[in-house]
Amino acid sequence: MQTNPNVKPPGVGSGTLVKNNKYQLIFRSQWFLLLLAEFLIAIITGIVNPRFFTISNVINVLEQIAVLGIVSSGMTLLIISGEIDISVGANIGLSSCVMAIMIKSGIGVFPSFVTGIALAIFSSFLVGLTAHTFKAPSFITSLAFISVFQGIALAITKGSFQTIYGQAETIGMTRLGNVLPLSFVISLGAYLVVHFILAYTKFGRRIYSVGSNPAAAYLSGISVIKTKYYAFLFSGFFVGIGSMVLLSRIGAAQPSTGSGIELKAIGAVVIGGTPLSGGKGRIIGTLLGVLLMGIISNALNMMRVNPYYQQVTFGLLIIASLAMSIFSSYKGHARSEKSTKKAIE
Amino acid sequence: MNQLNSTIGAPLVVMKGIVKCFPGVIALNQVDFELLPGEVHVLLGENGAGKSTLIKVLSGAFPADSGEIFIYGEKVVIESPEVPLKKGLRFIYQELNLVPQIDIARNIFLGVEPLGIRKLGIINTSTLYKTASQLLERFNIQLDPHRIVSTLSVTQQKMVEIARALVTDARVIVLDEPTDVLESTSRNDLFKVINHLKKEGVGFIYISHRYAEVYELGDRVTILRDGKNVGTFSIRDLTLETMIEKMIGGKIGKQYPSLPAPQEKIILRLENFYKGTVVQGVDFSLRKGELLGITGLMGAGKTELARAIAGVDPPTSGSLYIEDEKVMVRTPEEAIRHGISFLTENRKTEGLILDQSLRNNYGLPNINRLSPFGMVKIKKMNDEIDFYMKELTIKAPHRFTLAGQLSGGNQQKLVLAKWLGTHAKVIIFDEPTRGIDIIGRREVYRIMQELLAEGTSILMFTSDYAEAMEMSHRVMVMRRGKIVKEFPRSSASEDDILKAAIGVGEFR
Repeated sequence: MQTNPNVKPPGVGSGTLVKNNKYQLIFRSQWFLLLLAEFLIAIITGIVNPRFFTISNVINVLEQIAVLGIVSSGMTLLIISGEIDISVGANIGLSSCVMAIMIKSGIGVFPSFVTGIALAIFSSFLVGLTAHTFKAPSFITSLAFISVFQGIALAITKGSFQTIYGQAETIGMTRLGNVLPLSFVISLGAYLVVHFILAYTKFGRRIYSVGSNPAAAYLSGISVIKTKYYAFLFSGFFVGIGSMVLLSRIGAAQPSTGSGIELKAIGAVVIGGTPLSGGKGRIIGTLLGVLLMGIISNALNMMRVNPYYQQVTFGLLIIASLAMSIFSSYKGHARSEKSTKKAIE
Repeated sequence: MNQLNSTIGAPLVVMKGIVKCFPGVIALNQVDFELLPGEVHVLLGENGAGKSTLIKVLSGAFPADSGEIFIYGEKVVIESPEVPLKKGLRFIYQELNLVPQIDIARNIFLGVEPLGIRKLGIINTSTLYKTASQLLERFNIQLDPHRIVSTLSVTQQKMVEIARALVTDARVIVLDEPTDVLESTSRNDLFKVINHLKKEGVGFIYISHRYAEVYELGDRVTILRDGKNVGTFSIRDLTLETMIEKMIGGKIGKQYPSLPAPQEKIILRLENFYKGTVVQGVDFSLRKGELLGITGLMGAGKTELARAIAGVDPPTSGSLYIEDEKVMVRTPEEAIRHGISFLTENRKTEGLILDQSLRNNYGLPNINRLSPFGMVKIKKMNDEIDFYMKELTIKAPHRFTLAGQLSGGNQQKLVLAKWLGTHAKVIIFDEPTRGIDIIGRREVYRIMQELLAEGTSILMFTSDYAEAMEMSHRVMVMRRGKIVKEFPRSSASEDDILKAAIGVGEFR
């Protein structure tokens, strides 16, 4: 093929273009749009209700998105690997109930947390194990496990609240320098760990490979099953950490604790530009996705929107983000077709 | 073409001054093309010369930037795939596009089923099967229309697809490398159908890399190079040599390189290899620096044997020795650990991750070696892929270019690069040059030659008999899961191999 100097190439495709297009790429990337949307929402809310920008409100937002951020970090790994776990909410419910019961019965806080986290890892592993063993999508097995986890949690708590007020508040309530919530710092840690895994480790590279083309990965000597199991284990670990932070902040647990967080977590990952088909994605997107969730939730509260409508908003937001990712992947095509049509006319 | 009285008549399709630009390249530059009734018009050119772009412009996959298209003398604007379909143009692509779970008749009438009374959407099954069997009979296809498509051979499926193209009066049929998936024995059946239709005045546009076929079937040939029309010629007036020279725009050298002599030491030995019913007791040994070719008909068990040795689908029984040590290879991971690399025939689906960069593709089998303590040495990985891009002349702007943007030949070189990084003792190639043009082939052969010189051993599974004969130190022919014959290099003709592959007694 011949190169034509008169044709302006719009997309990526040739080496010299990479540098010129760097800024364009940033402007077009999903996470940049997200950041823009967040600023916009914040400014509008701030104008409507100036209390939005007070330190106490900002801290409030950060505290509220901490657990979601931790869970979403693990979910990012899982979704990139081509799997999904919609039982994370129920998993939080079960593991936080177990932690609370243990603390209540006088077992130390530390061993209780460790046990709870181990349980969360195990639960997540079960989702992966059943999916692989029975050759079912993890979407289905995790759907089934929602019922299992919730049922067990109901059985061991007999449906009642497990309160541990004042016994394990350090993690949930500490504010570094009296400002920064420790829980938020932990969630930052989760993002960093996942970023590190994805960018710098063998495991991270393999996650992308198995999510993108498992056949090619397998033939290249990568154990697809093992990689996916590890993704489940990591996701379970983050769910466990999330349960611990949540329990410590609320000071009580019940079987329904955490329910609904799966939708928000998957939503945050998808809004952040990781496609549900796997193989692609970055943690910065998830971070901003979580932030968007937090800001919107807070803004709706500030503007006194009926909480029932808030739920509607989140659902629509996820749909919108799916539409956006489809749209951005077709944008390139549409542009080239438009120009060719013009040329014909 | 004037020798054929059936080609007289107004052209079916005329394309004039077609221009199509993609970002940064002119894929088609003022290309003219003409198809007469009753002719097989071959489109020739290297990968990326613009053959498929021209076909896609005609099919309505995307519009041309400028140029005119006439169908049956009438000027048309092809803005969507429906336009050529309504005009009676049919496109048959390399891949099969049938629904495997339903029967032949229903596939033929898919979407155009004859409806019963009052057209309530109820299919008139008796008409369906009657018309289908008439159609099959017309083209001498001896198949029961009730048979489920998945039980048919690939050739038979291709025939059904052609029958489907003809169910609604087709006058132009475009065939894109139709024989790439067919064996040589069954190609003749396809050609019979084509010749039959030619007599009825149907025009064929035929894309193929196989020159023998071009001579056997074609009337005229249009050669494309770098998006330009080099010329349209009567095939009988053109020698193979001039044809290839026009195609690549220069003199051709030797197709197959000389091979360095193998060493004495035996690297890999197979004993009594079985895989289900497909591979039935295979023994052979491979020496250091030796290239052993294994060929046979489709279904002889070549691919299954290759995949069994590579641990992709482990053998049911049998032993594998690497340098006289018995090893167990049950996964590709273990194969790589024992120094066996496997280049699959399905480059795009199993060999590469098309939506990832060259570098990440390179990393696939090398990530273990490049990650001591689980941490990837990114700089080392970058250096290595840059090295191989230069060494193998992979034409890509950058190591972050996506693998899917490369041409077929460059993709195969990337697959090679990825496996060269593992420094394997034995490299297994399954159909190494399928779908690769003449230049790309030569580069693959050159790399093979260099590998042999460095002492790497190669097992080459191929259905291209010429390649098997000319590129291997020894050729083994497989039939029904067994090795039936062995030839030293260049000691037999393609015909001899074919005879061995079919079993001489059955040979016509």
